[in-house]
Amino acid sequence: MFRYFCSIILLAVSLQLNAQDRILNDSSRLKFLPTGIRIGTDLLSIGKSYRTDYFKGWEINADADIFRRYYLTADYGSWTTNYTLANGSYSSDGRYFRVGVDVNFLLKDPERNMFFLGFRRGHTNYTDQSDYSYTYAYTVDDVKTVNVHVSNPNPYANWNELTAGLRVRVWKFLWLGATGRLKFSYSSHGQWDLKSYDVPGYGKTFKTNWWGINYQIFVRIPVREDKRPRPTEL
Amino acid sequence: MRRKVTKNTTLRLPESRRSRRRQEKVYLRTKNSLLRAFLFVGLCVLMSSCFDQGDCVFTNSNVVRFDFVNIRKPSTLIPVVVDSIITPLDDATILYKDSVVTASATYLVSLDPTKNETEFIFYWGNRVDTLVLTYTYQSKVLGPDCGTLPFYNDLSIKYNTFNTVLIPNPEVRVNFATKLPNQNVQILL
Repeated sequence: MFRYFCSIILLAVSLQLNAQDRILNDSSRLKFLPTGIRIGTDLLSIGKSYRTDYFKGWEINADADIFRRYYLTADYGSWTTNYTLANGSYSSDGRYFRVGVDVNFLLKDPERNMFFLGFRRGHTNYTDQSDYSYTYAYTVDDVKTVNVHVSNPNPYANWNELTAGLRVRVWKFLWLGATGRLKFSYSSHGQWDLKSYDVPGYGKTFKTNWWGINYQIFVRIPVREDKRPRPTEL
Repeated sequence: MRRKVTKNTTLRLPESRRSRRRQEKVYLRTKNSLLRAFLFVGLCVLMSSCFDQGDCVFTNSNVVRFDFVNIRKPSTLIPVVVDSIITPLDDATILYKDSVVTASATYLVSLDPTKNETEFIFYWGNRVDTLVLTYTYQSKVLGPDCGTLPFYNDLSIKYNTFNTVLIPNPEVRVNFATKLPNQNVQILL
């Protein structure tokens, strides 16, 4: 699946390189100045915080068209989990951020609707702990139960993401978006006594690759005039 | 003669079409049905993965497997009679005692899960040998329905009075299907 995803990305990038950009050339002074900045939040995190008793979190998203079809994007969020386990509990708490670039494949869309593929680098600092009890047989006749508390005081983790998604203008400055993420290349540090189960921003760690999804609502703040032709400017 | 075609590079619609479209200001539009299908399938896959909590594959154990093997051919087991295996910690707990005198090449005894080392004293024949094993452990959450369990790793020899002892597998685990422990310690005779 991952190889197919990479192939799609490479194909898309090569097509993009051959495609004819119909943007008018901006002056070099404004070349990297975005026409607008979108700032939003993840509705799924908010909904999940209200609807579940094991997750509390929020996420702020921002992107800006820094050069033609390329968008600089950044996410910052909080992620707290508290799982009730069969033999105890597990909790994690931390902040995370992701930065990356999106490539817009609907550049000619008059409403600035966006279908994008992108790449992110994620990082989190967090704490996690587990309290549990388990039974073991020390000898045939001697079965003992022990209560254990384990924690990681200051672990951190990094990962990469391939993303795909949509941004759709719904009303004036208001936008809705959906972003799907394939998370990979997860690396962790500082997990000594406890192997982290749910890492903020990444998710569960028992799989090499992990999926994620966001439904977002954005407000777009115009920064400068867009010199692109707007065929359906009504 | 080549026909000259004027390309609409400004993306402006003809006047007649512009006036017709003036009434239909539609923001949510996706013309590409293939793209819609791709998005629908993608969202279904993503949503289904959100409910994956992990599998209850219990492979942890605190039972170490000792095998007596031939020093020239370690794959050959040598049955020996071990009277008892005790640990001097915690008032000399008897980990194994041979109730009926039988020869066996494999003995299963427990590590002390509350410590990072366990001393084993083997009484076998007219000999007494001591083996001290050290290890680390890491707790791992298998899932909400499975719980957290300790996993013992990095098994190594701290002290030994046997002739030769090897650790072919430093992870203390059991096979999930057969429930048989890994071959952790080989005592070469």
